[in-house]
Amino acid sequence: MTEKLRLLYVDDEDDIRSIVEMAFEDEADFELRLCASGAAALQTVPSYRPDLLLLDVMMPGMDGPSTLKRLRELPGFQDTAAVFITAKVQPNEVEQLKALGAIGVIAKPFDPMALADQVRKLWRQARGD
Amino acid sequence: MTGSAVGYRESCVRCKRPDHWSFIIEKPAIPSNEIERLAALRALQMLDTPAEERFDRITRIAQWHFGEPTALISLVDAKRQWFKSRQGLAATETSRDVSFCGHAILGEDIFCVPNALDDPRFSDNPLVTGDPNVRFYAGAPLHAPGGERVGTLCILGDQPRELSAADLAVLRDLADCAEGELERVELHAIQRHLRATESRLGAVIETALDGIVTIDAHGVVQAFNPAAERIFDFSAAEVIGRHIKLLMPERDQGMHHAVFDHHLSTGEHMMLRRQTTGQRRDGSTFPMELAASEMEIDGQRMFTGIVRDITESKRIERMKSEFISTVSHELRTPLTSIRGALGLLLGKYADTVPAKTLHLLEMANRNSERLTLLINDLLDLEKIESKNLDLDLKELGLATLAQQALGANEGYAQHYGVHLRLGEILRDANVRGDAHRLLQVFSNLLSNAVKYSSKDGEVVVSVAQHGDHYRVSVRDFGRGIPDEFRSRMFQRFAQADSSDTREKGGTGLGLNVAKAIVERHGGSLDYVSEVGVGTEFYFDLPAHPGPQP
Repeated sequence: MTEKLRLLYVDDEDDIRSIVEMAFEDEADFELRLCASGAAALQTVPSYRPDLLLLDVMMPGMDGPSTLKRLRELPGFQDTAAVFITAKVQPNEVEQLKALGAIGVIAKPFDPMALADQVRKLWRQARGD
Repeated sequence: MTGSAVGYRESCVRCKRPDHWSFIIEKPAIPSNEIERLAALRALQMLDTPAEERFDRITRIAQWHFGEPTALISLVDAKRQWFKSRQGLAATETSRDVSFCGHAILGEDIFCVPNALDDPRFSDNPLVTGDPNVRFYAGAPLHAPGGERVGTLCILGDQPRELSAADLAVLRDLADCAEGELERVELHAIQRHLRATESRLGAVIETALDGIVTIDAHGVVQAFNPAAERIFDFSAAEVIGRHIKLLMPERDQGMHHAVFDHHLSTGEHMMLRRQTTGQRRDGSTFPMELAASEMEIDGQRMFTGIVRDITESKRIERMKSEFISTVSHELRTPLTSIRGALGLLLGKYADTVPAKTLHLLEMANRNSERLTLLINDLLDLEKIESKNLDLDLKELGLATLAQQALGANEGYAQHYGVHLRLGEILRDANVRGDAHRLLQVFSNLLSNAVKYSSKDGEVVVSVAQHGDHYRVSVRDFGRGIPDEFRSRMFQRFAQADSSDTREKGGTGLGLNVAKAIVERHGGSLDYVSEVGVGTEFYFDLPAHPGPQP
């Protein structure tokens, strides 16, 4: 069995974090850690060493793009893949997010039963599999 | 007979019996151009005005020169003669019927009556038989500037007299002087009229809320109204005589010259309305709506621009756009939790809940999906309205697109027990379009058709040539749309009856969005329907020449 893909999901909404947690709980090929803020994510990353960051965009304090920028400044994480999961889904907004280096954008509301598949697909695309 | 018998013995005028003439006054005839003549007289606006020295000096000279007691400037009105100037007469007017002047205006020559007592037309005239006992009359017709004989300069005496040729010439000369004054009267009237018109127009321009700027063919400002002063923060005096580029940012000046030169060199009439940028005195700029048009004054081409500062409406437009964007985002967040929770329940635990609970969960899930669609439609509509909808235009085959649309909506149709099928499809029907947006149009029309079809019904999609357009039709055999609903069909949140909203789902915005998308493609969307038979929605898109084989 291959090693699990380590995900870090950052979202300030408790309920949505719970949904995401349940959406991945039966997916054997993922390991998931949750953070309620960008600041918490910055503390978690060095020890957890995620393969893929799942980031909300609109968050108080440090928003998704800022969080990504700060995470990328941490030694060893400058190339960590990221996917934004966001309610900002207008085409120009999606383009802006991709320009930040995200491998994909998933729109809220998402289908929780299809979320793992969506993430898997984006990951494979980014890896060129 | 005396003066009491004046005038109205018309039976005798008609019978012409020679023994009757001595007591009949012959009324002056009416000139054939009487209507024009009276109009010309009215146009002078002189009737019943006070005496004026410029006319009185002419009658005084006539009175003195001819040594007669009475000299008049008489204007012959419809029923009377009225004296603009009179020497030696108290009355201001007399009846036209008894007037000598009424006769004098009938011809071009000076009208002379050497002895009224010897003239059957006047011998019984009350002015002859009584005061002022007229015997002699000579009247030179006065012409209005248009040539109509509106009155006379005349002299009257109480002794018979024959005028010499030299006297006739003097009388004519004096009459010409009086005509000169009449022309001045008309000029004054025209001036007054022009001044009134000008002040009316001036008031409109002065009080207009929009800036009005006039420039000549060299781009030099000729006029600048108060609203323009407010908008650009320049006084008229500072701008008039300077080049129009003073009022626009430097980056727009090239554009202005290009448009301007184009019109000057081609002689093409300028008529444009566009949004551009204005520049105030302090160099700050503002969004401006400009309507420019052209006119010719004294053979010179002039250009008038009507300008409006649209900063405020732009700001409101932006606020609206931001508001919708924010609201839809704020709605999406809780909706993510609701839809997520329901999705997980149904996806993972559907077999552990009682049938009734499951039914309720499905209902909640379906409605949260509907809410998501509504928010998407709202955003789309806002984007289309604020013209922020960017189309990714590519050459597309409508046949392929129709096929894709059918595939994408198959599941939905099955849910309603409706069968989707392709009808006649014109191959190689190519258009330039945004595939994603056009699929959105297909989906909208298909889902509507499915919703309004009966179970086991059929929905047929076809593509055909329609002039230089291609027509895509989506036909259902459902209940049809009542005629009275047509006017509301493309309004927002419209459904044929309010109970449909619950029964059929849908946001009530979809058709709006679909129509707007088609229109942004340069096409049109409409429908035909017959109650009880079915409905055909169609949209036409401009044909795009396909790749040559």
